Amino acid sequence: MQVSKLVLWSAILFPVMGLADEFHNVNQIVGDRSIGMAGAYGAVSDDASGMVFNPAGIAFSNSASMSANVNTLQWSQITYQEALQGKFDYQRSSYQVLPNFFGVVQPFGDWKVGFSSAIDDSTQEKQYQTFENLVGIQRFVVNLNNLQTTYNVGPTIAKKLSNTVAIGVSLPLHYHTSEFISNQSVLFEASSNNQLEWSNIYRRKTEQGLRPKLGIIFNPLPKVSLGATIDHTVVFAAAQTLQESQCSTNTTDVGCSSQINPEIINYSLIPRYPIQVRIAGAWFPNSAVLVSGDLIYNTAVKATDGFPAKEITLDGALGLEWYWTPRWALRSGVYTSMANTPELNNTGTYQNPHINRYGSTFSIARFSQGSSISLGLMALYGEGQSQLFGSIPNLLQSTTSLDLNAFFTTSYRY
Amino acid sequence: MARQWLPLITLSIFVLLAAGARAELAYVNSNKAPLFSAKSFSSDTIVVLLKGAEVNVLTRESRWLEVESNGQRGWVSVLLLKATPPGDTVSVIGSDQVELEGNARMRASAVATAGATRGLVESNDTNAMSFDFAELQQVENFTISVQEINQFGVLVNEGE
Amino acid sequence: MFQVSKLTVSKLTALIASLFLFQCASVPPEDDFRARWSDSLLGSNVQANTEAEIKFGREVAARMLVDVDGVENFELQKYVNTLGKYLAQYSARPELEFYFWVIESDTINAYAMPGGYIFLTTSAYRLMENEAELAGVLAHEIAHVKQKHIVNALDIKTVGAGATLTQLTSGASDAFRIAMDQAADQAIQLLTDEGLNQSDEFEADEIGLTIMVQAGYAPDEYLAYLKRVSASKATQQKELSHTHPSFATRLERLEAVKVSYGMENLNYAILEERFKQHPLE
Repeated sequence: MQVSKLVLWSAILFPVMGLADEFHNVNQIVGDRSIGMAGAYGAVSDDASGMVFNPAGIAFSNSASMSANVNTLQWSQITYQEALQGKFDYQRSSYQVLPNFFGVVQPFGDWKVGFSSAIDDSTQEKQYQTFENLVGIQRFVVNLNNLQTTYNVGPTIAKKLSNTVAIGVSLPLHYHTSEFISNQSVLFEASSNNQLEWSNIYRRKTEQGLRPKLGIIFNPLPKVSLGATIDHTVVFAAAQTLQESQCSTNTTDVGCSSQINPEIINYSLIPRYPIQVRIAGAWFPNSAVLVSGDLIYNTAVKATDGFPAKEITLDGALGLEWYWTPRWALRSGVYTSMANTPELNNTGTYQNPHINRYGSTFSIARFSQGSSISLGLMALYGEGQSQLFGSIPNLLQSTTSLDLNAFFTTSYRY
Repeated sequence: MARQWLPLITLSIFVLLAAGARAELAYVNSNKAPLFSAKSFSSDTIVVLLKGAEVNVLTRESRWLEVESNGQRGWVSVLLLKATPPGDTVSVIGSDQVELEGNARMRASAVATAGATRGLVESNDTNAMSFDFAELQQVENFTISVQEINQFGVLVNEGE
Repeated sequence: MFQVSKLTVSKLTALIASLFLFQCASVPPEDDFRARWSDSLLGSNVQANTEAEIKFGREVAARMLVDVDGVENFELQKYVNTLGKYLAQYSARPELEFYFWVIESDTINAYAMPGGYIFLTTSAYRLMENEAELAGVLAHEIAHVKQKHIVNALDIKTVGAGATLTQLTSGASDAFRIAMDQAADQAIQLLTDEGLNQSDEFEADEIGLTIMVQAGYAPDEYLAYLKRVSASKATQQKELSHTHPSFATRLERLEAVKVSYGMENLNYAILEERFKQHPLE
């Protein structure tokens, strides 16, 4: 009885941020050809999609091109097992339609110039759950809405230094916005002294910065390409707004017996991002098969005011593209998105979720003279632990997540 | 966890094998293509392939391709082979001047922009350019039949 | 979600694997390894691109014929055309019809226009001593056409290879007409004054020699001809020297080409007699 009450108090007072993707360094996979190959594109990158993976790649593109309208239907669900009173699962899910990439490449004398607009990360998490007949509690309602998006929009320029080496630079703007709204209410059993507890939290963040990215591609042997990139998101300006309110009533007092009055507090806390290094290799044995692999390394980031520390992550991706006729191709890939949070232990409090994710993609593309369209599916499965009720040590929930993504992409060459 | 990836690993192995083992086809686009025993014109000619012949490309080294055709292996100059079979001769519909009637859908503004983006300056004396299409037609009237060409080649090949 | 039966997965793997093994692929021998099979769909417009190239080439040829005239010797023109078309069989551009014309001029030179129009000057012809030398010169010009050197050398803004050339030759309006004329003028400039870049000339020498040998002619004769030209009167060879790299370098490179292709000691055709049966006057 005591523990459950404590649990609820924690839930009410400190609702967790949830599956935000500041906890992973690899998030959205964008681009028409690259998405089918699970983002194993750092050594290929020879079209508009490539600007996000390796800016040097477009130096090898043979014509002006456009990768347009990558529309994705994304459904995600996260389950915190036996979160409530050791019995009930907390489940959050969402559904969004997201055009997550647009890019154009144009030759300009000896140079190739491009522009891309990509959504680097997008999370929508919604929870609408009502629990009844909990111990000591008649009804517990949880409403949660968490929306976060990160955009990278900007130019790329690349040049071949020789027939086998090219370099490129991208300088996109980094824009991040997030909004978190949580409402919870508890209706106690009639026998209790407590009647109703209600809390509301609203948190909003925006950031602006730049994400310079430098890339190089090298062809050591015919049919083999190696690529490397390094980038760092640097935030210049950020703003956070926080508002909390809470009220508890009981049988004896009039009005709220305890309360937190709503008050808007503004901060300007600048977050830090890791430096990302990508090393990639690709093999083009003939014009119908392409095999590529990427390793993505992100450095650790120290904790700053308002933002948790991040650990080193090493992610990988493997992709395959195979044409069975000049007009039809299949693409497939696997990739990882490891947690950049430390593993949870039994003594800490307010630990962030640590969930490692594994994904795979599959798509079919159809080509005509200058254009192609493709249709595909992506699935990302995660497993790990969370500490939903942060103030209570030694109370961790096994957590699983599933993201399913159906995508439709087009590209055009002119 | 490893067992989940087993099918993927098997598939990858297949891909790698297939990629390596697959045949690349090419076609002879010249009238004749001699198949040499080595990458040298001084080496022996194994057989002379004819126009349109299909070959399997085995390896590639600078301007030579090692190919296999009808069980015979040898080297052919890369200039004589292409990925597609030889097509028919392309001829331009007889006209002395480039047609001025263009694509009806093309808007004049698009065309003018196209000209401007190409850095062109409108020339005032479009009539300054003159052309001698009459003489060009004389040139084009020299049609030599295939038999005449083959007859011509006889003396050349006797010299070898 | 991940409980798909192992049997299904194995079946799927086997199916996909078998698809791989049954597939046949044709790969363009000279192309960039990054090119994918779908790029060959672009080539399916070879028809339109070649038409555009020919239209443009005719324009350039007609422009040049204003200032020069062909030799009025039917037998000679027929001889050169027959030899030229015989050589063209080894050019790997079977979709083109090549045309040859000997023109009156004091300058020793030959001109290759896009689409297969090749002109040879009387001064150049007079300096030749046998059919193999003539074959060598014509083969060099054919190589220029094969590699589309002229088209690629023209200012990209005004004329690009392939599709853009198609647009310009469509003559959709006066703007395009002007663009075409200016491009044609630029082409004449390239041929008679500026010349192509060095690497294009060396490539034409190399490929021309290969065409000549494939057709059955002795490669040493081409080198002998070049030597003779370099020793001729300065005024006559001025244009040639201005538009091409130095003779010494060209000869040096050609010797190296001969060695690398194993072209030494080939007892191939020289055909001095047949050549002498077709004198200029």
